[in-house]
Amino acid sequence: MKIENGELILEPDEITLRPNIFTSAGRNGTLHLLARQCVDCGDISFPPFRHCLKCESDKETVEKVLNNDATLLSYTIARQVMPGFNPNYILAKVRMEDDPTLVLVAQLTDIKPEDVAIGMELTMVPKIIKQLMNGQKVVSYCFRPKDPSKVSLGEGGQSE
Amino acid sequence: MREVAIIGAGMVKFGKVPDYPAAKMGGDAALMALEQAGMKPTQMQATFCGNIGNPPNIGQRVNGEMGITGIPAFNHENACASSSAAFRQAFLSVANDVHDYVIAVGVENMTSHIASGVMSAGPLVLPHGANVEADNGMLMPGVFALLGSHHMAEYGTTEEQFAKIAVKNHAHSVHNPYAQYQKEFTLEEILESRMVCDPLTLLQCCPIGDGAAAVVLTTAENAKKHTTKPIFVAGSVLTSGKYKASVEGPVQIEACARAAKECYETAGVGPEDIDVIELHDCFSIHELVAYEDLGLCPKGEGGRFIDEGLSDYGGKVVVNPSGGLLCKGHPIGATGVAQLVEVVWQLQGVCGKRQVPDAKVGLTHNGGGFGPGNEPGAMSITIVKS
Ligand SMILES: [Zn+2]
Repeated sequence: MKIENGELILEPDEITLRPNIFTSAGRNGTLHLLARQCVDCGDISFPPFRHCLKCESDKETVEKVLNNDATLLSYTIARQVMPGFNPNYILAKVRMEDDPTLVLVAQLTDIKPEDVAIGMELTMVPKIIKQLMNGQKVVSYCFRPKDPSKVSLGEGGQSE
Repeated sequence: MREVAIIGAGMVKFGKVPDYPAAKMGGDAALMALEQAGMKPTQMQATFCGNIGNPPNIGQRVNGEMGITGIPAFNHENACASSSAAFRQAFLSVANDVHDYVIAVGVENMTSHIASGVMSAGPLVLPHGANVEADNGMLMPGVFALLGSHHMAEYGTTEEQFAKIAVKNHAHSVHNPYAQYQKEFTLEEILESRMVCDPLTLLQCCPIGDGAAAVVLTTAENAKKHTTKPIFVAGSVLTSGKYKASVEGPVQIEACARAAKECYETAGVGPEDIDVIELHDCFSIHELVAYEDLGLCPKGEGGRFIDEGLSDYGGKVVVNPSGGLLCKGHPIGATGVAQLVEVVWQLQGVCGKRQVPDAKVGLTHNGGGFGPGNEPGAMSITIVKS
């Protein structure tokens, strides 16, 4: 996988975690998560729901491009892992800046475990997280420190 | 609604027995429950069975092993709360005058699932595409490790406090002949066992295993004809997680707090009235957080509750006298009914060395899987009285 002008370009043996979760729409040369937003109460869902589960409005939600920034709510190091994952990844819950009630479960990447601190600022980066039994590699949303001094490239995830 | 009573309870010893078919285990547990009730299988009018991974029509095959056919069987899947859902429907069927005598069974042979590829060994694995968080690397111990990490940051809870729960439940299991593991461990041994997902070590994680449990239900009025020790169902709640309900406010499992509140109201009791609890301690962290969500102590004080021994013999309430899921074992579909079996036996006063003195009111807490927005799937709370 690579990112060119904000577009995610996959190799033939790569898939994204779910279809259409990434977008480059409306932003300059950067890749973003594509969520959905309720037209009545403003709730943001990702992965997206067609109807708002917060206010249970009967109107369909609309597309919403996330700004990708988040803060770290909690984390653990997965030492025993499911098939297809490399052990010792940092599994985290992150609170998205666009909607503080939007909490995602994702892996941290490009950071050493000893540098991780609850409350730290993060930003989304796509990365290969595992390989399926059929050989396909799964590209998903991971999070890395927003502060460049905390970034250690090559730490976490499966690529590089 | 008619008042409902449990008149018999039975279970097989939990353990790893891949050659003991799920239906046979269920039949054996059911026959034990029927024997305690002094009833024959032919007197049952319907079977409600919880299971997640054994071949279809498990309830009908359990009936066959009991020696009956031709009565309705209702098969329930609700992840780890599958047999709580079966029990709930059995309860409703008697309460609402549909049937007078029914049996609720929970059964799972996990080691045979693993042999047949339905599940993989080690951490439980869902097929890719089933759950977005799991696909992203969220394994079961990870779910509770993340909850624990958040609880530690918010309330200053410590790794030792989580580990003390495992010390307690392993100590209890020594006196339970039905437990998969009956071995005591020191706090140091718990903390020094292999790290699975920080801060959860191996001895704070429930094992994979096989087992079955069953209870016989009838009306409170009929119950007197069969037993001198009927156990009455005072409250039964089964709900589901609500989207994003646990992400704001305190560190909690909102569905648990909501279900418990409703169940206490229905039963006309409060947390201070409960003598014994079988609590879903799939991982030690879950038990500590549930102390708070069940209202046993204020939010954030779960660590103090275990430190002061308030969930042990001589404390406020005995939690997991059976050894809990951590030691008694967690054959997924069997768990909800197995929790009820322990609480029923405690209220009947037949638990020997692990007997909770003078137990009159018991509660079971059983959660199952995940729903939209990573909230709990099923959440079941049941309160029974002698
Ligand atoms: Zn809405």
